[in-house]
Amino acid sequence: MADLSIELFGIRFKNPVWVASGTFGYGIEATRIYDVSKLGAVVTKGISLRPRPGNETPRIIETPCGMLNSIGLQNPGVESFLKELYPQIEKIDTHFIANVFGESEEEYVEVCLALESAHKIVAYELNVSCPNVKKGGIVFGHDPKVLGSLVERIKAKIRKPLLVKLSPNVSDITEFAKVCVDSGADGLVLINTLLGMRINIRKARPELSTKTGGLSGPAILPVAVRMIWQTFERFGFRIPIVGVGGITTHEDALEHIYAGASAVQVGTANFYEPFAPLKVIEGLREFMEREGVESFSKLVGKAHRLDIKGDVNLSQKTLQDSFRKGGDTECRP
Amino acid sequence: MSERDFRDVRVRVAENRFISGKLWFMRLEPLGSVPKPKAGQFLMLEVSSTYDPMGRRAFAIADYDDKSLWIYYDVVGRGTGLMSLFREGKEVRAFLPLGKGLFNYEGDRHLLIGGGVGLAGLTLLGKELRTLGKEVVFVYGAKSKEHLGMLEWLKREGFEYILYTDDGSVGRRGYVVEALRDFGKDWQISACGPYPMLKALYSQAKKTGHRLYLSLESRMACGWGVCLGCVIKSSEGKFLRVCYEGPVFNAESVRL
Repeated sequence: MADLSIELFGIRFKNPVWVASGTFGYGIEATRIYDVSKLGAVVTKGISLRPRPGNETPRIIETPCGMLNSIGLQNPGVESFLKELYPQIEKIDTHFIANVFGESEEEYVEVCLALESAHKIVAYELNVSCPNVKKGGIVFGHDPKVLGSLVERIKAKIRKPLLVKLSPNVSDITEFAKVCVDSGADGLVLINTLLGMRINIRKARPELSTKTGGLSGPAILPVAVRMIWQTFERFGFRIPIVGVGGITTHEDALEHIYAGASAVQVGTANFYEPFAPLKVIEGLREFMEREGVESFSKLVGKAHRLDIKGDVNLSQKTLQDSFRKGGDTECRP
Repeated sequence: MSERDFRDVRVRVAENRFISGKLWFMRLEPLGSVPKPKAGQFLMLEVSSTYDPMGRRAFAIADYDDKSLWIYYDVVGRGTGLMSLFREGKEVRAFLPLGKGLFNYEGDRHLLIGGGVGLAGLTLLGKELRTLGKEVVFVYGAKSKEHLGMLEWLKREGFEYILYTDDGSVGRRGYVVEALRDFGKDWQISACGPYPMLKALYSQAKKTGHRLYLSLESRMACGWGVCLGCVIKSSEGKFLRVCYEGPVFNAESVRL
């Protein structure tokens, strides 16, 4: 059987298929659908220091091949998460990555610190790109200097790996990726939702309570693939990229992977195709067996092979070594 | 690990017909095993195999027989428009049974008030209550006669019913909320329909002292508790998921 397991930032994952923050709760409801331990990892719904009620309704509206959401990071807060939800996820045999949100640098640090001793949480995904809250979040994600300072400050305080989920609502995402690389982030998650809006023409007013919201779903696949491509082109294997945006099938996942993603997250598809993550895992496994690919990492960045100077057929060992060392294969031609 | 009670099954369209007004009826035969649905539960139906529209649509499981699940739907947009084109034999996916059916089964006399297609959220409850030996009366209201298409079900099932129409084209002229005046406090009320109707019922039930349970509709992306799109505010001001904590709520526990 093809080996789908991967090692990223020193952690072994069963497979490279994770579920995206905000599309899977904390993994508890899904145990009523299937065996959640089959997933490579579960990225939790955003966790903040204090409970957040979330935005008023309407919070969602459908769009062509996608949807807009403006949930507003509704969550019970880190204390309540640890007390009430964490004991339930402890039984699920896969890694959890905490999506962490704060309104200030200090809050981000505090949430991470509160989760440091929770062993199921193997890494943090920094949410600096939620378009639906007024304070925090995207403020950090839209100014490279502010982002760099945040990443540095958190990295200095925590032991677990730190991933940064970047906003696509910027002119050059690689500038933000650079700041993360320079500040010591362990991985990048590309991309969060695209800022969008719909108007109800019958009522002549915006569909969402917050007027604008984040676009997700199959419609954003090409934007995610392009941004992963650009980031991989600039940094290669220097920092692992986790692809998210518009993935429903293993073919969608392969686009992300060929563009440079070392792992992928299934997001909005969880809503309309509850079994999508498992189908992606099986689809990738069958694909690798059919194509005779023994190791998943051979697929990462494959579409760049004509653009990369030097060794185009990097062995698994080389790839893993480059991750371990923080990478030295700057792939920009 | 909890029981795997949410199933995503292929269903075959066994019947899909227009009734009247905007109302359609569809019978779906699951091609895999599904748990027996309870009153108040719903399913999420795939309406397109492309991603446009992407989302599934939520429908109350109105009734079922040995082989099939029954839904009633109003054609109001692109998703339901596509559904109206489903031919017999077409196979789509359905995710079910979703939601908790936390209706009120106490008391011996039950008034079930449905507005338009909302009646489909109460039909199974009517059958369950009747099986328990309770007295059940349906109140069914809509704009006009042609929007009372589920009358065929009420008649076939032999339930007692009272009709209301805005224009008086059939039954009493007026709104279903008026029915509360004719039934004493010992009648338990369960209702499903548009929000203005539920709000009116809520304020009337406050005055008359009736116990009121509501089955709510909401815009849903997932139906299984993770998108947080369908929420309603609880009386304490916290957001509850209509799909997961509901869709049935004690009217006192939510702010409409």
